[in-house]
Amino acid sequence: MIEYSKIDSDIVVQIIDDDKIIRSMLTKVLNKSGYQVIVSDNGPNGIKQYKQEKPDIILLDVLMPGMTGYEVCMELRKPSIDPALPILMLTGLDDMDSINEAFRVGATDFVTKPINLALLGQRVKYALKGKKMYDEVQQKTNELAAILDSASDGILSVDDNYSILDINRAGEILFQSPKESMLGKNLLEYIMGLEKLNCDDLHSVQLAGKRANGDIFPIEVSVSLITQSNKTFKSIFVHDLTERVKIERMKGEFIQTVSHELRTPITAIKGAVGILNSGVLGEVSPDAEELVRISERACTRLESLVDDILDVTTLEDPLEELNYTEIVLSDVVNKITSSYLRVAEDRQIKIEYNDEPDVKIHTDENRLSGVFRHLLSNAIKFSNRNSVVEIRVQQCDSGVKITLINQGAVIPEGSYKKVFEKFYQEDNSSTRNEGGTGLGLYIVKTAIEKLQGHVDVNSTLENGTAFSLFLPRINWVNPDVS
Amino acid sequence: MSETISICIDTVNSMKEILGDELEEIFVEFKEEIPLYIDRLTAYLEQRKTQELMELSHSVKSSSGNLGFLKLSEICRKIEENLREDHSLNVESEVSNCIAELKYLTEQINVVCKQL
Repeated sequence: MIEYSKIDSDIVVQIIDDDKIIRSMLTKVLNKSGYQVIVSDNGPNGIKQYKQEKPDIILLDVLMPGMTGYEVCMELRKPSIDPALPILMLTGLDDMDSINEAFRVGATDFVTKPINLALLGQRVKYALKGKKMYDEVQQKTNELAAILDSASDGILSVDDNYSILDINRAGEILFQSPKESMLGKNLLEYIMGLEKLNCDDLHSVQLAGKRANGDIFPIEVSVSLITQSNKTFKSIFVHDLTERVKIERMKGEFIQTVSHELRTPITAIKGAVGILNSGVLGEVSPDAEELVRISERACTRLESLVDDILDVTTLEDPLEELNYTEIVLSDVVNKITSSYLRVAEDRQIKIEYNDEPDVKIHTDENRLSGVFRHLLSNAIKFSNRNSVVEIRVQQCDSGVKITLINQGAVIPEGSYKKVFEKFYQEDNSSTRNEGGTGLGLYIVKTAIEKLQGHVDVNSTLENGTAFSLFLPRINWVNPDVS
Repeated sequence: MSETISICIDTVNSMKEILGDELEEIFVEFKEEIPLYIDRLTAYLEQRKTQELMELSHSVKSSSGNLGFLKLSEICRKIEENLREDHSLNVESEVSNCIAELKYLTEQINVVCKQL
């Protein structure tokens, strides 16, 4: 026997049936189960009453004079009405046609006549349970949507082809485009270079975003792959860097000004020390000579420090405009190499360069020269006396590889990554003797990545230390062709 | 085919289990509707109001079926079916059967109510 314990007495059941006896019977049964009941004797009244009193569940007779139960049901399934409202239709026993029709017009369930009163309570309870679950899911969904919408970063989800599935409020503001016009569009139209971002990378990457009006703005993007019940999609977090870039630029401008201001007195000191050292002003005593040499070295070091800081400042500006031109690689290499010949000679180091005269690449000459200068200066600095620094250029289909190999202290494999970090210096006697800013390789890595290439290091006692630059051909635009 | 019984005691008992004393109220309600049913059946038949007659018999079929008044429900089903399939010939005799059963039930409901 079914136990009719009192359940939530706030629940209101609406009965829409033209038959007085059925209405009366159902009312009594449902009241006994603890529900409140409202009754309507025909379809139009039922709809009117539903809209006024918003019951939790409806029992709806199929065959009523005038408006049929099917018509009522269709009316109650219009978008303005809660789609989870349980509608239980009262159909004839074994009347498969009307049961099918009931589901077609949107009924939640059906109850056959003659009504099994004991089962009716269970049916109602079950339908209400479904409704409650739906409401809970809906509420959770709404809560999550509210959280996403209150986030200050743009959050989007895209499918494997970067087609936009969803976007939060901040995302709409960021791209200055309403959600409706973004859904289904390809996110690559809005975020340049996004396809290169790896989902496994936990850290974010700086890219350029494009607003609806065509404005380009700096953003920080991270991507994660989400797998849910056999479906995968990507969630994309977009942080607007416009403000930060503005501040960083101000900081950069400040540092640039200060550095320039520093350079003037350094030049003056260097000149003065040079004159002292030359002996034009008279004989310098051996003790004083040592002091003059220390001053000269300190000046040189200070100068390169200022240069490096200036370099880093421009490199770290994500909106730095690169000046791409076509250059002959050997011209650049030869020019820089010749400026280091004297330093190399002083240490009895030979520079060997297998010149490949015809390698032309499309790049920013200034940046590439800077990269090469740092690598060559390092190679000479950390070479053993009487050794060879070798420069190799290799061309392949995908691009060009420039390798500098020197014989000297070995970089342990565990430090391969660290040597490219800002202010990192291998702690050994040679680095201490040579001094340096700890910025050189950081500049190399940052600059080469800006040129869409990369740098690698490999160091062994047998083969020496090799730094390889790789510049991909993929981004070279031949000006003659275009 | 054996004669369908007027009141199904099993149905009445299972209703009693759920509704308790309130079952009697429903029976009384039904009993009070009977004269109205008879009036309307007679009038619709005389005036050949097929649609109304069909709707009324459907309604009585449904409520009587629910209360366990199997014979009445069965007669109403036949009326509805004949009207739908346009066998109006049989309708007249079925309607008089129906009225007779309704009158019979008026007494029988009193008997059942006393037993509840």
